[in-house]
Order: sequence, then structure tokens, then C-alpha cells
Amino acid sequence: MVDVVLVILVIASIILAFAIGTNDETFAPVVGVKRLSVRSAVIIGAIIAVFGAFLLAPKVSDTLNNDISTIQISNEIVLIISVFISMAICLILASIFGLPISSTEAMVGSILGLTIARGETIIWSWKGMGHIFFTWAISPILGFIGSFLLMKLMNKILSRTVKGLSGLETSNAISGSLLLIMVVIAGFSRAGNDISNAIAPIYPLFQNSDTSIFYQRIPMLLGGVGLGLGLIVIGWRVLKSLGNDVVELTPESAFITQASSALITLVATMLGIPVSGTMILVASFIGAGYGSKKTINLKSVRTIVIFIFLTPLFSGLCAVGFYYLLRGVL
Amino acid sequence: MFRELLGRRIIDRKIEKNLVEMSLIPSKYFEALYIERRTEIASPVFDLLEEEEKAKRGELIELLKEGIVDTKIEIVKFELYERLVAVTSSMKEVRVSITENKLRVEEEEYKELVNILKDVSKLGKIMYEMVRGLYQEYDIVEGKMENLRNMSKKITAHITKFRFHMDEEAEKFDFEDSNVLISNSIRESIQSMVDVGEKITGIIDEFDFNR
Repeated sequence: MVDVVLVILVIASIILAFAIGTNDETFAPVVGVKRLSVRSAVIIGAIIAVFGAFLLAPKVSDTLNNDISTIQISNEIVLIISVFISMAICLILASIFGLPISSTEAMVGSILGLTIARGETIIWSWKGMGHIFFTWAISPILGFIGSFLLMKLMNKILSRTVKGLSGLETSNAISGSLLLIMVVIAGFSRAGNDISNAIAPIYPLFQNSDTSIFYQRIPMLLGGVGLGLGLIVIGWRVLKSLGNDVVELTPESAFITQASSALITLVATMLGIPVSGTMILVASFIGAGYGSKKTINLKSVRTIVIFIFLTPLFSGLCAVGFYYLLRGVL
Repeated sequence: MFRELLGRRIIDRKIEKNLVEMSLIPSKYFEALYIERRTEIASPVFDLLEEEEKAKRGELIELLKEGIVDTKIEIVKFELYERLVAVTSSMKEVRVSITENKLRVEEEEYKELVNILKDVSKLGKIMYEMVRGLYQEYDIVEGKMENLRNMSKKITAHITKFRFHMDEEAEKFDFEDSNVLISNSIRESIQSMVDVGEKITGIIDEFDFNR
């Protein structure tokens, strides 16, 4: 029976890792400025995902425990699988439409749905949902303002230094290279962080002091491969959509987008302000667009915003549905 | 993928060098044509310039193909290349038409047309300076565009016989008339140079951070 549970958990983990990979927008700015083609970006992204997930130590100790409700999903396998499958469905569906969504949002929606369905209590205080709502409100604002101001500063510097097309091309080449380096680092770190969610339930099962380090790292490898496959099979849609549809990027504005979202995330983490990486990145795109006086495709932005609001609702309903279905089967 | 990772700066520099050098060819060509027609001594310069133009055009098309060719900057460079090719094609047309029709034009008229070639050469020089300015110093280009427009107007004012595009005007001229044929080719060449200038100002409007 233990083996069956392990197999189910491994499959659920790989599916979630795959789903996270489908919605990985890290390489979108590089694709947006045509520094890499979508094909090259997904291949490099997949390689980085595998190495990042395998090499970086996972932080899985309390990933599946939460402070937003009295329900603790790590206590029941049915709860874990319901949350994982609903998250995976949300992420994959959004990716098929080419829309970046926050995996945290999907997870919170699932947990809240299950909390309500089981008649447990949602914690609305600052330590619970207050914290989450603050994150969702502050992330896009910080992302927008940060990239808007940095873009204005960058434009000022460029207007004084770039005198001709030759200078512009040099600036493009430098910005493009810096952008590529930042994206690779972000890809590594994201693979390490995001995989933690997916492999949380199976990671402890592989940690045995008698086994080799390679064996202990199998969950990360599985997660990395799942993430990489997700990026290759469906993830290109999100890269193409965010990189090309929302706003027309230049290497400079793409670099600002990536740099400001990394900077804001770092500063916010240091100050203890919770933020969402996806929301910051999407808002940074828009902020950099306004900062460089480029036309923003409001239709794409509106669709992304609608999906941001629908994600918790949809994942909550999915999680409840799967919870009752699995309870009947297992 | 390897090239994508390394970036395109080396290719961009080669494109810049070739575009600037190619833009100088029309000026040299018209200068040589003017001297040849004035002295009536056949010049080997045309073969050399045509060879050079052919080599630059070939190299540029290969270099432009190296890119993904869908970033805005690559598209405008390709459009500039196309306009430069229009100039070099029309300059060869001028030589052909002036050679073929020389004996059928009155001597005085022929001399006038030959004198115009000297000015067209100067116009070509301005176009070259604009291409160089596009790459090195946007600010130079604005003044040069003004010069290009004024000079082209001045030159075309001396070309009295040419083919109008409008039907009612076209009836005034005999399209078999040698003078009209030479004038048409010169006007086409001048217009193609102005088109290059306008393309350059358009590129600057789009890519100058100060606008």
C-alpha cells in the first residue's frame, strides 16, 4: 500500500512540476526582444530547470503547511492530491491560453475551497489571509512603479549617451547580454524554489542517510524534468504571449523589466514584505512600457487581470471537486 | 542558438560598415560619369564601382539574413538597404540611358544634362553623410536632410523634360524623346536619394531617445 501511495504522490508531484513549467514566464523578456527565439528559450529554460532543481537545496520543510486556514493539507494524501491536481489544471489551462498566473494564487484558492468544503475556519488576520491579500495588492503596484521609474532613468541616461544607431546597437547588445545573464540566474533560482512546492510530499520519502546523495536528489531531478517538459510542451505559449503581446519591448526595457522585478523581490524579501514574483513581472512589463512611452496592449492586460481574479476561484472549485471524487475512490 | 547567445554585435558592425561604404558608391559613380562624359575618355572606374556595389550588396544580404530579421531595428536596416539598392540600380540606368541616347540629343542639351551629373554626385555625397550620421551622430542628419531636399529641388528645376506620372502632364512629352529618357533616369536617381534621406530621418524619429 505504501508503494501505491508513493507512486501516486510521485505522479502528482511530476504533474504539478510539469504544470509549473508550462506557466514559467522567466524567459519572456528575452523572447520579447528576440534575443532568443521561443524554441531556443524553452530548450535553454528546460536545461536550466533540470540543473536548477537538481542542484539547489529545496526548502520543503513547511511548504505544504499554511497559516491561512485551520486545514493542514500535509496531513491527508487526498488533500495533497486535490490541491496538486487543481493547481496543475489551473496552471496548464492558463498556459494554453498563453496567460501567466501565480501558482501561489492557485494554491491559496485550493486551500480556501477545501477549508470551506470541510467546514473549517479561514484565518482572516494579518498572519493569515491579510498577509496574502497584502501580497496580491502590493506586488503589482511595486512592480509597476519600480520598472516605470527605472525605465525613465534608463531613458535619461540613454538620451545623453546614445548619439547614433551604432551606439544604440551597442546599448542593445549590452542590455541583451545582461538580460540573458539575469534570466539564467532567475531561471535557476525559480527552478529551485518552485520545485519545492511540487516535490514537498515526496521529498521526505527519499531522505535516508543510508542512501547516496544522488538517490536523495531524485525528487528534485523528477521535478526539474517535469518543469522542463512543461516549458517545452506548453510553456512556449506564455513566453510568446507575455514577450510579444503585452508591450513591445526593447533590450533596454526588457532588462529593466527583469532587473526591477528582481530588485523589488530582493528588497521586499529583505524588508519582510510578501510579494508575488509573477505579479511583479507582469506589472513590470506594463511599467517599463509606460516608462518608454510604448503602446500597451490593454486587451492582453485585461485578460491577464481577469485570469488573476478567476484563478483562486477556479482552483478552489477544482480542489473541492477532486477532493470529493478522490474520497469516493481511495 | 549559439549565435543567438553570443549576440549580433559583430554582424551589426559589418552591416554598418557595408551600408556606409555602399552609400558612397553613387557619389563616386556620378562623379566618374560626369568626368567621362566631359572628357569622352572611357573610364575603368565604372567596372570597379559596379563590382564593389555587387560585392557589398551580396555581403549585406547575407549579413541581414543572419539575424532573426523581425526586430524593428533589423527591419528598418533592411528597408534602408533596399532604398540604397534603388539608388545604385538607378545610377546604372543613368549611365546606360546617357550612353544609348547621346547621339540623339542636341549638343547643348547634352552638355546641360552632363553638368547636372556633377550636382547629382554632390547629392550622393550628402546621402552618404546622412547614412554615416545615422550611425554616428543623429544631430548631423537633420541639417543634411534639409540640404538634400534643397539641392534635389535645385537640380530638378534644371531638368525640364521628364516623364510626369500624372496623365494630363504626361501627354506633353514624347517618351521616345532621348532627352526625356535621360532626364527621367536622372530624376529617378535623385528621387531615390531623397527616399534614402527620408528613410534615415524616419529611423531617427523612431530610435532617437531624445524624441
